[in-house]
Amino acid sequence: MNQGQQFLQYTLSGLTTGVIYAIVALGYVTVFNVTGVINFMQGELAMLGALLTVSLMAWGVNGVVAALAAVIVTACVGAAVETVTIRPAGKAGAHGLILITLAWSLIIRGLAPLFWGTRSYKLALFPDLGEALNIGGAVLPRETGWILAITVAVMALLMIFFYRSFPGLAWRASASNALAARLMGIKPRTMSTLVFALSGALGAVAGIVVTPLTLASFDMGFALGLKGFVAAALGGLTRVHGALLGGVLLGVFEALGGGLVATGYKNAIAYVVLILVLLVKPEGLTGRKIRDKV
Amino acid sequence: MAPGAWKRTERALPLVLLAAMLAGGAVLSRSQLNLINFIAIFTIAVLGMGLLLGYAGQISLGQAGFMAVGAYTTTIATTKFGLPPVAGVLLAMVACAVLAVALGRVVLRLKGYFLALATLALGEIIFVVLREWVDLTGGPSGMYNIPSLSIGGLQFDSYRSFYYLVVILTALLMLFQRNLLRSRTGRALQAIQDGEVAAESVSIDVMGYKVLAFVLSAVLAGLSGALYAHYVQFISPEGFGMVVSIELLIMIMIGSPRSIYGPALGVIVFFLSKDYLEHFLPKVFPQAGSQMVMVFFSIILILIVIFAPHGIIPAVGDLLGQRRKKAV
Repeated sequence: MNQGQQFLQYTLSGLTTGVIYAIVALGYVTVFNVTGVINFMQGELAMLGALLTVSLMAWGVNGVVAALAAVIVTACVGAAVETVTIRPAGKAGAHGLILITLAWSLIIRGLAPLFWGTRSYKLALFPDLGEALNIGGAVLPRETGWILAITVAVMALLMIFFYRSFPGLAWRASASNALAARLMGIKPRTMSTLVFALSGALGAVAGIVVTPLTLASFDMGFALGLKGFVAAALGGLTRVHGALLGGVLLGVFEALGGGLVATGYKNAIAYVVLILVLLVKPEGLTGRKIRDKV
Repeated sequence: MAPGAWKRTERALPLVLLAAMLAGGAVLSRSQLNLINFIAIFTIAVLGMGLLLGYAGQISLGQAGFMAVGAYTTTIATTKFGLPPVAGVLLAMVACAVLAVALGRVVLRLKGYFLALATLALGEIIFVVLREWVDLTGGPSGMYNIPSLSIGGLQFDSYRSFYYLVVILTALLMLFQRNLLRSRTGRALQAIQDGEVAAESVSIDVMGYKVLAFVLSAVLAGLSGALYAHYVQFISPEGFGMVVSIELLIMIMIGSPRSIYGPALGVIVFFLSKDYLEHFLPKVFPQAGSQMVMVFFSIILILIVIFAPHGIIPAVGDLLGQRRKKAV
């Protein structure tokens, strides 16, 4: 491979992981917009979705049905966490909610080996499509097509939800002006439960989609969750298209940095990007400026 | 109790406790001494956590990163450059202070979730560097043969001698923290907690005090890490991962972020229950590993945040207070 082909190869594989980061990022965006909370267990929800799908398929359930069921179950976990622990801690403030969602991520990661052990699982979700694609000398596994298609479908569904459905309208209303939304009869509590359920569903989708590429195991959640957050922060934390932009940028950046500079330090790239974004441009690439209120 | 008697007891209590602990050093078994040594080492880091979280109101999810910087600085200084351990420990504290000053002014502009994520990322970056910079740090396999601590002619190479050293050191640091919080600095931090804008309007250097708390907490974490390195005589990156940062947070929340004895109490409760759970839980969940202990502590953490957000000490105090009022 010459340098140009290498560059293309890294960019394409970065693009694939990038759209997966984008789905995780969407989970943060939906919750943050409405509740102002950053959900530290987002990555573990992805792990849960992936491993549930693996188990269901191992019991002979059809792939699509298994994935849908896993998404629904994970959404219920998100909603349950919100109802049981986030809501009663309403007055605990940011520090309290950081600790609660962090604690949940440790609980989910700690309990997962009881059911799935510590081994890695394959997920043959996509039908075998034969040989990898060859684009200008760069090799692209056929799964990439599926991953892109699913991402586009998820984004489209989200857009339809946000712009064409009543709960979506309520979501946008709460995000743009929580008080006014409340005066219009939108219950903040219901919205909070709803967005946690939605973030659970999005997390599960991300986990299911990433598994054919990277395998699924109980400890896959932490890195995926943190990188998803980096993508969300890069995109501005409040916009759906920002999440996509942030995810793709991070994925490509990471692949290029890991491939061309140093593989071992690949994981640190996302963290450096995060610190730079938070410090230099905390409103992200697409977001509006967040001003402090006294 | 006669008025004033309680105050006198309160003043005498720490001295009595310290005397009892020093006397206990002669009779405690080796495993008990070992456990207390770890408790004291972690109390030092958790003291810093209390200063930062409880008094300055800033969260850090990267505190284990500073412990790592402390541990690796003294290890590299003593094993690769042949410095005496005391110099290594002092160098470790200086390294943490320099790093915290450099990072503090930038990172502490962030608040709440964003500060948490930035410090989490800092801790992870330190973790990755320790694992990848194999020439300097030994990489994932860690560093061995760290000399035990010695000051002048005094050797602290046994459980008992290290016990005396670390118990006295921890007591002194607790005294330092108490005095610091009763000084101008303590009042300034209190004002910042009550309202940053209000504090600024009476010309309190809000950023300066936040950075001070951040630096002190980093130095304490670094000292704790350095003592750990000389005590255990082996370190690896795994010992300073994100889970350790969360463990420190759990310890401070169990005790109380806003109390002098809170950190020590939190660490004691944490280590004693961890010791017990590590024997007990595998019997109930044979297929699960050590992470069941963290599941247990995570549940405790959630309960604390919901029901006793200021920690267990004030919650117990409130309960007793209510009961006392009812009795009257």
